[in-house]
Amino acid sequence: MDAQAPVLELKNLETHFETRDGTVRAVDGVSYSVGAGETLAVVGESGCGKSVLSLSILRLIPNPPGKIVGGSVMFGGEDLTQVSEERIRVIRGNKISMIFQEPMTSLNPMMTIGKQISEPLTQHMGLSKKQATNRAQEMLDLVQIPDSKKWLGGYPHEMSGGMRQRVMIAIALACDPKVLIADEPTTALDVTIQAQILLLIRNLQKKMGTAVIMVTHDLGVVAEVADRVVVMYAGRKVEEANVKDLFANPQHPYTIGLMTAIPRLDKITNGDDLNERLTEIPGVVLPLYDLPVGCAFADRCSFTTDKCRTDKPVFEEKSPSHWAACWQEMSS
Amino acid sequence: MTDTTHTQIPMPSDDSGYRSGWSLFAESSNKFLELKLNKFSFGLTMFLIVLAILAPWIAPFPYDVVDPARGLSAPGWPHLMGTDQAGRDIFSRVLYGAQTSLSIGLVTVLFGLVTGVSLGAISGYVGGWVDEVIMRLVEIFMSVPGIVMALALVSILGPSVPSIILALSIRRITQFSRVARGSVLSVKSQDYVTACHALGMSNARIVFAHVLPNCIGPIIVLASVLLGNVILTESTLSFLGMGIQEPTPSWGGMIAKGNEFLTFAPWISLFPGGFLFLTMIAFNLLGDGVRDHLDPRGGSVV
Repeated sequence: MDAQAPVLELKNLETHFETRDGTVRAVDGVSYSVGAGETLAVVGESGCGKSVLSLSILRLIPNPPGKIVGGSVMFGGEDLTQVSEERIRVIRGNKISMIFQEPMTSLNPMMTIGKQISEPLTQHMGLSKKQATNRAQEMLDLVQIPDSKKWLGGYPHEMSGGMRQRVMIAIALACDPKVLIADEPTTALDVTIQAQILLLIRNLQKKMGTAVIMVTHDLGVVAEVADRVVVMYAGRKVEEANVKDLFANPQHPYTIGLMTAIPRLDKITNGDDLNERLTEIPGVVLPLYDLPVGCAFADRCSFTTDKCRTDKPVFEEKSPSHWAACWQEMSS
Repeated sequence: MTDTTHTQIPMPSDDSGYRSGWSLFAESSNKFLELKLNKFSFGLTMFLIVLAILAPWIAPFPYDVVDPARGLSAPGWPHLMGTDQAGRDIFSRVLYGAQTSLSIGLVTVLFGLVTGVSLGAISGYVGGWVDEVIMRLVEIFMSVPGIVMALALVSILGPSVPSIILALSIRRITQFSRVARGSVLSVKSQDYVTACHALGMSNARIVFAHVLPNCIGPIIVLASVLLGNVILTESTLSFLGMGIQEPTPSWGGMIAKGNEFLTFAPWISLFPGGFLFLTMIAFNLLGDGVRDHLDPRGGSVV
């Protein structure tokens, strides 16, 4: 996978929000790239900037207060942070599309499913209404909605959350995009439906060769679908590795903290103490407008030294294609 | 549509779910009229409009022939609804009055709706200084009592139907723009609007195809309420001598004129008042019906 030229490449992207309390560095110099057919997971807890990061790719940050202040998003030889508003509209939904977290509210309640899927088709691919409706039905079949023809005339409120998320996927993939950004696509769904949706995304990705950026806070989802993982903390990338390396040998204390915080079903079968507390990461994410000089994680970390308080850790390769930003050497 | 056999074989292009706008409209209006209440309000509205259009043929007397000898006669034959102090046939005047009142009401509300909703939508959707400018202007207009503003305008422009419509519209524009702005503000922060941006739609398309259809409920209700309101405000203008000029009848003007005779000749005000009442009922019910019908989440359950 690594040998391929990346489809989408972020370099030192910085998105800031101007607030009364000061400048919020929601995304503070993040770089990553995805290749065709690859799945990159972006992981982090609430408020770490992962959603802002994905919205920044398509310049969907409301301005004011938000602004992309630095870095580049390279896609097809263009820097998306620099292109005109008209140009980015051609890319949105067509070459790069997005799925959102809340399937219940991400569809227009006043418009039929068929119309909502055909809209980007008529706009971006110049299909006639009739052709677009045909393609919309194909898309509904593709995302495995039974009775697709009937559903073309159906409304979102008649559907369950899982079905709506399927429709969202159908809309996002209708124009055969090169990149699909899925912003917590399964967070609002039942666990059983989650698995179905993830499987669906993976199968469609295989079929269409789409690059997928899966934004999530759920390490279970990461293990399920990702090829590579970027862990974010306080607007910065703290670790990047192949999914196997990351789970086998996490290099950043934050990643380790995330992993130990997962409830484990196997404890029941192992006969361990069920009343044992889950390990948590103490403290909260610092306000992003007031970050310390040193490592942003220092206050919550159990490995903190004086150096962590004074110097920002360098993002370095700890082992082959496994990077982390930490002064400490983690043993496996 | 009814029995779809589900197969994975691609459908031939002609057998698609695509249907023309007209067939959708026909089906939709049939469904609208399935409800008894909608049938009633639609029928009543149509009845009033047809009465107004056919007034020259239905009215037994001209609306402006003065005959003091027959003045203030009670309803009976040949004057079904009696006569006013000048001996003019109330029934004929109510029919002709329907023409002026309904047209002034409908045109004013329509004009106010189109202008006000556009302004409000721009204001709410664009935000920032555009919002500030438009809303401050609207507030300036709202700070002057509607009737004073209308009087001033009519006295400048002269009491013709177009200037009365313009004078009455200004108030409606401010009302519509505020309601539209509020709805647009709440709708534009919805996830599906963000999703529209993420699909590369233009702002114009998002506003017209996605935001405004979701704001339609309160706007329709306001329109149906304002219709009666406009007809009555016109009567205030008439009362102050700045409305439709005699001898042309308008319901509001007739109600106002009948005031002095209310104790001994109540029919002068009563019949135009009754028709105004029917009009308001019809349009309010129609407005509610249309609003429920346009909302796919429960149109048929009232």
